[in-house]
Amino acid sequence: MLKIDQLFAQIEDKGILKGLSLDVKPGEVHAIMGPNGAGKSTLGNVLSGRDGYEVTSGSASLDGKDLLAMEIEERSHAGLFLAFQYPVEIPGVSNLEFLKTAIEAHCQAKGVEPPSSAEFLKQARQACKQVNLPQEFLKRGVNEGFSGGEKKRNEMLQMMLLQPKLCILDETDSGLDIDALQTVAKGVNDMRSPERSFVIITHYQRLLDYIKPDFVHVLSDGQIVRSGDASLALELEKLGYGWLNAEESA
Amino acid sequence: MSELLTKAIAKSEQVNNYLHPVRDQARSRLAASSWPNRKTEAWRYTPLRALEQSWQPSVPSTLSDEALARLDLPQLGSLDLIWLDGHLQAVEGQLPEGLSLSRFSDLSSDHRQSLMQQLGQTKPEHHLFGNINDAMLEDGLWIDVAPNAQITQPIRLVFAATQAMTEVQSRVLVTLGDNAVAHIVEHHLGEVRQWQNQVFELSLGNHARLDHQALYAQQQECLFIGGWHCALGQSAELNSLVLAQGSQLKRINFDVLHRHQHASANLDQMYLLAGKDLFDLHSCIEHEQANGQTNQRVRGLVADQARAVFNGRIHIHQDAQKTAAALNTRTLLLSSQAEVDAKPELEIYADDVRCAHGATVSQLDDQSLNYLRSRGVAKHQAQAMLSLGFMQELVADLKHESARNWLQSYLKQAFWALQE
Ligand SMILES: Nc1ncnc2c1ncn2[C@@H]1O[C@H](COP(=O)(O)OP(=O)(O)OP(=O)(O)O)[C@@H](O)[C@H]1O
Ligand SMILES: [Mg+2]
Repeated sequence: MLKIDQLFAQIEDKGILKGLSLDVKPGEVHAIMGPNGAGKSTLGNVLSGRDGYEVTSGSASLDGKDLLAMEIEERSHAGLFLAFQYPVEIPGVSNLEFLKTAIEAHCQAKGVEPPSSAEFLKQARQACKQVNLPQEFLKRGVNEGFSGGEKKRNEMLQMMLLQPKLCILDETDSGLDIDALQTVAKGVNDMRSPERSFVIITHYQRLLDYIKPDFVHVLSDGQIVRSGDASLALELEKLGYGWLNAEESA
Repeated sequence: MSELLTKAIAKSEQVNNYLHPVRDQARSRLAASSWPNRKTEAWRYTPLRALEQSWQPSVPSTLSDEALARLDLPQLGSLDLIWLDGHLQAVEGQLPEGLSLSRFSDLSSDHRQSLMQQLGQTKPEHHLFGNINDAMLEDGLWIDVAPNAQITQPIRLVFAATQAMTEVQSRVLVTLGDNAVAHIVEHHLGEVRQWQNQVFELSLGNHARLDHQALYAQQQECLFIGGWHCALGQSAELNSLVLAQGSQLKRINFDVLHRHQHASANLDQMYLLAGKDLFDLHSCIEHEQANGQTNQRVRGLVADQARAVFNGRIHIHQDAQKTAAALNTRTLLLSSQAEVDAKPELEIYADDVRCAHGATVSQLDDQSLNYLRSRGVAKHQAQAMLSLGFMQELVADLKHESARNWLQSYLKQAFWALQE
């Protein structure tokens, strides 16, 4: 599904990703952990096509299609979804209108009829319920005045409506209360399927109690420095990242 | 002197009713004033050439049901006052208690006197077109809200232009007694070539509140010059939102006077211009007394070869200590040939004030653009959504639901029409 090979990327001449490789197969859940500033969000941003990042070498593909050659919106149409670590507030654009436009754009890209307004509204309300967000939030400006946790739920809501193939969740668990954490976990688990994959960036083992990852990776200084199964996360929780460096220099 | 001015003075001399002191005084002011040219600061970017045509007086007519339907007025649950080419139609329905509406020409002699005392109280003497309006003053409407009356039903003033090549002078006086509350909606519309010169004078009593929305939707052909002058009593509150489309000539002088302490003015002013439209907003906020508050937000979208002119003056007098005044103006230019001339003018003579102003030509926010696109929205559409959102943000803050819905959908329609 997602294949990243020796990816190097920089921001304003500063190297951030330094030869990162990752292979995510359909149906798999990968967790990425790692110290602050390691490049985790950068990975998500580079994959989703955000301006300002320059890929200097390496490749990334989704279902065999070269992601790096696509426009931001084309990557979304191709099935990539990034739940942002810091979702932006867009006052003046209503959440509902935003969601509707996004769905219509996806339908158009697929060449299918978009849902009727009534049908769409039903879906949107349903999704609100699933992420425990009051329906009034559909009328508000996109993320406008939302609390940290509400923003994250709104990201989940978008993910549910867009039904992407590859979901990258960038610290979607940060800032969530315990109930919300379970809501997010349930949302992800409900969406798990043999055709859909997840890359979950997190600092906490906690989320992984609810969403069982197939693989856990440690991203440090722009590279995956270690990969393992779910038990690696437990180990990291106990020992921190220090021992990795110690091992490396040993 | 321009022909227009000469004619105005000549016509003024022919009118005969009790308002003659107003006309006489205006005539003498006009005789001493000169017609603006390129060097006249207040009219630098706004040429008046288009006014030099031969205008006919508009003919009084009655609005038929079909014509009313054609105006396609939105349902606001309002009490409607409709001016057809400057002629006020009969008002239907029961007036809420505490509200009185009178034509100047219908007033009893007692009321005539108090009218004469009110007229010219808030309108600056040096405004050329204000003086022309005075000189031609034959009639007008006085909207009075009694002290303590809370009129929650919106009072909608519709100004419709239908007769081409006519000249329309109109005058409205609004007075709110102490503790009174009112909600006034102005809707200006029409597609014909017409010259409109309008003066609004408003005066709010102590602790009075006026909520106001105005849509200047007259199209390209309409030449509009308007003065909107509002004086605030102690602790009075004005909440006003203006949305304007441009036309060949459209100029509004919007003045707020803090005559007493502790008053507040929340002013949102927006324009959406396309083609070769012009919109010129001159606002002047006078803080004469202490503890006043003004929060003014001006936003504009300018497309094609349109041009926006904004002059925002805030004058804080010596006695106006502890004034808090903020003026923020942002314009988005949607084409390389679009233009904006924005000039904030701060004059501060008190030392203990909080005053902020900013004027920017804005860019769309990259992060927001990225966010929308990352959800599959095409770039050009994301840009359009953000541009429209830039304006909707202010409308979204309106407390009155029906007015908000109306202006939101109007803005949306006007915006998408401009994108085509
Ligand atoms: N726009 C930018 N301009 C300059 N430097 C940047 C920019 N974005 C990220 N960086 C830098 O790139 C490095 C990696 O940042 P990134 O956000 O990818 O880290 P992260 O692993 O997600 O960290 P965290 O766990 O704190 O979220 C950091 O040193 C950061 O300061
Ligand atoms: Mg991060």
